[in-house]
Amino acid sequence: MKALILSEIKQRIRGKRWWILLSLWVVVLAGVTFLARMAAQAELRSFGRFGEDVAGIPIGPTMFGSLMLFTLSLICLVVPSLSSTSVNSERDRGTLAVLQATMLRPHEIFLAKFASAMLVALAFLVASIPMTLWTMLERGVGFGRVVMVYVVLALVCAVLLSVGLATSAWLRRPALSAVMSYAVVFLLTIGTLILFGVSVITAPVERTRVDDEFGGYVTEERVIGARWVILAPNPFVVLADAAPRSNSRFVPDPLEAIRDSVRQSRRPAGAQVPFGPSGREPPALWPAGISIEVALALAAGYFTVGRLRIPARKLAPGQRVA
Amino acid sequence: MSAHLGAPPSSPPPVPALECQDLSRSFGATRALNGFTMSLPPGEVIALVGPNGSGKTTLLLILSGLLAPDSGWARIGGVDPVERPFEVHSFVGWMPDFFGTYDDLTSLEYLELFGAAYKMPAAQSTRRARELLSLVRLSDKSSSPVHTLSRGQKQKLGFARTLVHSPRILLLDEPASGLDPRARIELRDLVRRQRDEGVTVVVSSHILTELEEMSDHVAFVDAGQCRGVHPLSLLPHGGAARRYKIRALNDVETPLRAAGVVFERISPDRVVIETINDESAADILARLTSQGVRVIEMTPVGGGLEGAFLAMEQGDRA
Repeated sequence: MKALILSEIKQRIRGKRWWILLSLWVVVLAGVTFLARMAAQAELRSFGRFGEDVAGIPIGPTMFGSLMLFTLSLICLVVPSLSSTSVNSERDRGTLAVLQATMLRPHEIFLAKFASAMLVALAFLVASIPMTLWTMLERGVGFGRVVMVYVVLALVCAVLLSVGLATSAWLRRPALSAVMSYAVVFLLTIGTLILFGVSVITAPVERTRVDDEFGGYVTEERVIGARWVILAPNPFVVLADAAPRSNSRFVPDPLEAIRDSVRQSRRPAGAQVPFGPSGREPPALWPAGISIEVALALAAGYFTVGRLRIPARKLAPGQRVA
Repeated sequence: MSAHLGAPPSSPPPVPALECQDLSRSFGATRALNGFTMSLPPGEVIALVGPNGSGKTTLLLILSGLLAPDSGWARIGGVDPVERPFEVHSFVGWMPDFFGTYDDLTSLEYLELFGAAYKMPAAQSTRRARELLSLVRLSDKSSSPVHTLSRGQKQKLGFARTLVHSPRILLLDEPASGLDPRARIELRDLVRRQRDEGVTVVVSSHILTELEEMSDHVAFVDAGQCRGVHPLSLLPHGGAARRYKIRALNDVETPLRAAGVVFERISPDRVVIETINDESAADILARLTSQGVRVIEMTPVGGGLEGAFLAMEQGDRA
């Protein structure tokens, strides 16, 4: 199986395309980090003009948060393409059946494809490390935070790759399976957001009468209940929610901003007070989010292995075994 | 229709290398195999002969454990390919009619990859890959990327791939298609060498003269059924129809019709007759000349295999 992984990787990186993509990746991320740095510095200067003492305020959190959100966006763009035509293009080229005719078991073919794509995806993550070190040099970004965020990024890569493999094992045409894998990315990112929004505005409203010396008033609150689960598998939500708070002052931390706002969805009824460094935070969404994502990846993997099983019984219309 | 085995009468019937019983398989509305029954002897080269779409490829897919039949069963080397496909893979080499290669790998890497896929240790698979490259005379291409190989060279590389694990049964689906004559001769010699080493080779092709030169047995396949297995040596006299073209200066059809000979009219002075064997052909000629037909040409149509193949199709239409 090691040989199969190696040969897959060799094929992936022997083309020129891969090196172009990787260099572009580094240039874009470095650019984003630099822009975030400029923005944070401008913010600090404006506070300074109003007499605040901003000397020595770390701007790392702004840079790191922007960098990681951007990295995740690029992952959503690049990673599905690493696996979403992996099985059906091999069927098209007539290279899959001869592999299946060897002693390789279906799960080994799946794992080899998954592992080789994962190693390439990890190479992209590794290529972002210099920029992350830069943000750490600007202070305010803890090591634990970096590790946690990278673990989530790797996990998202794994989920997208597994889903991509499943679409390529399911649909005969590579173009269609590529579109389908991006549809899943869309569903996970923007789709969860829209669905959550719709579910919230249609949530029941609870009215409570409060009596006071002026005759009383009615408070209104939407009962969100368990609807936060819709938002939980969103990769951006998981990423931001899992990252420990940086408690940065004066400069914005995008990860923290997302974390604070998504946790509003789990605020206990009646608790109106906004929370901050001192306040009590509502429970996290990411454990549920990660569980849903891992379940999705496992289901996709199980489906793919089933599609690689021999002897084939049902074939899609027009599908050839060889 | 039952298939029969034409083993020499002196030796005991060998244990079949291949057995199929009532195999059926449909793809949508298309019936690729329709009650396919066949039994083939080991240690020989067996030609699968039949028109395109007759079910040869489907049969080989089932035998190689990649496709499940809708009904019926098969045994290859005594093993059921549906139940135990991976055991079948350990001793069967399969070469599809259409296959791709990993173009960015070198020839050596390509064969090494398949060595690994057959769970060989790295050193052994490298040794085997070099051995095979020299067998198919591609040693000088061992470090060239596969995409720089010609079609014939790729086909030979594909053949080498099927030999990686030294299989004792080879299933070759149209191995010579699209090859130039020289590459074909090389491939034929490679197949013969395997046979000489005791490997059972099942080869399908539509190039009949080609098959004739390397096969011991021929299995006729038509409309998803096996129409008989014959030793090639017995073909021309073994009951399969033989066809002759006859050209005459005067009317030849009336006497033929009177004699009850099956014939096909090509043009007013030309017919193709069908006979059981060479002797009856000679009889017909004698009869025609005695009745005043001025025959100026009488030639067999096609080789033994081609004649038999056409006869099978003819029989199908009748």
